[in-house]
Amino acid sequence: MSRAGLTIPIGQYFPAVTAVHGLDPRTKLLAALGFAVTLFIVTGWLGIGVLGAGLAVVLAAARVPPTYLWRSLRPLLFLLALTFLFQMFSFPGEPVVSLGPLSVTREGLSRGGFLTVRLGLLLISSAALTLTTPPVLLTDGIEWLLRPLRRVRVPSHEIALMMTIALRFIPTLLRELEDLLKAQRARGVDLSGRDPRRALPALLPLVIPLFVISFRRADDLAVAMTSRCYRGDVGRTRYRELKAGWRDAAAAVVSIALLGLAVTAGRAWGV
Amino acid sequence: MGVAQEMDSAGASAAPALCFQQVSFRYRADRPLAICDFDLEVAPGEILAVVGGNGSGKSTLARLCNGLLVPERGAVLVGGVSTADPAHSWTVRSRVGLLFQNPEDQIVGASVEDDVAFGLENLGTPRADMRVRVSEALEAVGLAGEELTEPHLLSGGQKQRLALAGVLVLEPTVLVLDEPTSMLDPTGRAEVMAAVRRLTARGVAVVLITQHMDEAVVGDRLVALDAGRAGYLGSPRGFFVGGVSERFPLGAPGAAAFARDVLGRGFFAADAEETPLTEDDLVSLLERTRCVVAGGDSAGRIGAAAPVEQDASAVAAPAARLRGVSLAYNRGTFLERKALTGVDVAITSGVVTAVVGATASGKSTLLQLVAGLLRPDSGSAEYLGAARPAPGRVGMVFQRPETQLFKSTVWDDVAVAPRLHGLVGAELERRVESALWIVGLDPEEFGGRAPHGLSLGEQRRVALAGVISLAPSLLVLDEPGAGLDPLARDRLMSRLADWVSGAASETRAGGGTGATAGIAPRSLVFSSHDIDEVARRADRVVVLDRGAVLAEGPVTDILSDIRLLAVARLRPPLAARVAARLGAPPEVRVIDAAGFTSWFRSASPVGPVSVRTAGEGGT
Repeated sequence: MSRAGLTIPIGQYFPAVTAVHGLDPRTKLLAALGFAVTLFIVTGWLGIGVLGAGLAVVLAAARVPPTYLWRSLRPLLFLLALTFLFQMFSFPGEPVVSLGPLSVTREGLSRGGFLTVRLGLLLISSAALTLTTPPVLLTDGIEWLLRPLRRVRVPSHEIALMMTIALRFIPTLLRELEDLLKAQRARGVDLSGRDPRRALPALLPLVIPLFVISFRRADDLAVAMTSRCYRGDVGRTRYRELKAGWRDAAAAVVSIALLGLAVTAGRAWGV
Repeated sequence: MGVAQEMDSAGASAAPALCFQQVSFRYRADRPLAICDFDLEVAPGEILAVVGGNGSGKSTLARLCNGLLVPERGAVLVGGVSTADPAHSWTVRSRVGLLFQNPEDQIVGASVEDDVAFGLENLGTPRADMRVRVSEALEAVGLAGEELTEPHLLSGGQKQRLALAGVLVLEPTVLVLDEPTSMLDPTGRAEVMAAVRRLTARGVAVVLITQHMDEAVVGDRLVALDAGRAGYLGSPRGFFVGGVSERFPLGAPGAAAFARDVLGRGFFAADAEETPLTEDDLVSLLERTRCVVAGGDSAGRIGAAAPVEQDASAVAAPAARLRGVSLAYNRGTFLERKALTGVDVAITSGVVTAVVGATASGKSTLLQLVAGLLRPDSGSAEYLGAARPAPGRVGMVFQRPETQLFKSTVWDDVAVAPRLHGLVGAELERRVESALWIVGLDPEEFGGRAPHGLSLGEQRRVALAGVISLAPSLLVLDEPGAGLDPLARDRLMSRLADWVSGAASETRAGGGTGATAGIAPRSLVFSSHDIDEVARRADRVVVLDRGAVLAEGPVTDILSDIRLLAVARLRPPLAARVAARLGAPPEVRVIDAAGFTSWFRSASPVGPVSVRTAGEGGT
């Protein structure tokens, strides 16, 4: 049965054989985490520049086409635009343009720009992680990294299984949603919800069927899992083995060096 | 633990793999028994077919097999172990594999191999063992090479085979299949059934719950459930030929129904054993009976075998016309997928048009273009002369439309669309009620009920009524019968055909508006995987192949063209297949039992018309 293709979901895995794709998911997860933390330590444009350059090198090495990256991040642009707009008006200082009580200041532009670029890099770096790591490996990596937390009763296996199932069903439910949208539109139901008072009622034709479908699926899935002997994390073994090699060690060293450089650069030539 | 490997050591070879002893079960104490005093034994390597109407207890039976449900009285034994014994519940579950209707809801893993390994992980199988067994299971269902594919990228048949591999990998001794093919197209159905048959050769006992009588006849034995009891237990032949099956709401195997249409019911009254259950049986029966049915009143119709063509295109302007239309999804990305290229189609007014084609041939896309819901990338679309269809004039219903129901009563859900078009009061009431009558639901009985409490067939009809209530003149339906049991499916299609001809009753008093009531001619376009359904219901057919129109014309011309259908990777209708096997030349256009009968009578060697007696029974 042919179906209309969706636009590319945010951070959809981009299959390729590159050094970046071949790294252990744990290495990439930790590197992305380190990157995010460093982004918020770094205070100057130079530090940001170092991080941005590093990220660009990683994406180039992973051979992710810029158009693909652009399309998969486009839905988040409005978030960045909103951040910038908000920041632009909210810093006192030397006014550049005034709109009644609001005025855009030089400081506002500079701070807003800095924050927006920071946020943008954060989004791109998380996309770089999911673009180059299959979801299966990602959840395995997360489960492994959460394992020490089991001592403090964090259900790492359950969290990982929930993520796996969520990942598994996202494409299914997206397709379901797309079908519903088309079906309700075909009978003239207005789903735009332009009038804010009617926004929620306007979504009911989508929300109710999606709930019904999801609950039924959840029910069926639970039965199928029980039939396949699932009983929680009792004596389970793992099909996948995560193996970190010398490449991972090398990647870790390079990442740490880069992040260190960014922090130092930020200190030395702060704003 | 190794429970999976621990095969049945207690039972000797003759011991049943699965055994029901006086089993009764009910879901709640205040409800009637769902299964009642049920006795059954299934031997290793045997296929047991389970049939029965909706609510007869088929799915309950499946869940009793592996201890998901435990009997209230009696016992279910798997290799001698009771499913009610909590100490053995995981042994039982690893020995009894359950496969359900919807493959989507059984797949846990984010990749094919991860999913197959899921059961093994749960049983604590060592990693090295897992690798071997996962690849064996994938080999067994023909999915080797797809290890790293994400499940949502597989076809329906592949998904169901993946679910089957996930069950097989535990090396079950019993396989319970709960309507495993009802969501699949004919190709997927054949794939799954072939995989199942290979398993029985390995000694796996198979319980096959099905609504397709053509699948039920492959069983070594057959159980017909009726309100939780075994209404019949014996050979499939005994069930279908003795008139027993007529006590159940089930229909007959295609070959049997066809033979009755061609030879007449009276023919089998004399010797019911002659009833063919498979296509091969049917062909050999017809070979033998040639002389018997030859001649008669149809002798004068030699050479005029094909039914009269209804070509209404000359009468009215087409309901929709596409010229040189191309359309692609995700244009300009590496995910770009061409759905249609250079399509020229005119949808004739006032008739039923079917769109057929193999999976991913572009059927859904074409339908949405015909309904005006998609715009072509290039080429032009025209709807009764306009560039876009007038509001409310075209109604489109997608696959499995019952998911779109969201109101708390049937009446309100059907009223959604006409209300949005500004209808109120008496006119709204009239629209809703006539739409419900058209789909065969009494507004008084069903109007106040909650859609989610209805059967699947009823929900489907409510969803259709929700579009018919717009009073469209063109109705576009994507696989309207998919997932329904054959009887509900046929009922629905005949209602829709009546809607087009104006014969459907639209009020309590009955009687349609008729074709002469001065309204615009009604047209129906639908896609279907069931080619015999198309042969029965369509006037015209559009054949799609890989996004292009391969042929378009009257149903008798298209569906009798076996070579054309082979190019489109479609199976011809039963009548055309049988006629070809009996030596009909290609110019004889036979697509259904009626057309076949007239050809068969005229083409048979002319002999005296004899009344068949029991003594003449074939050897």
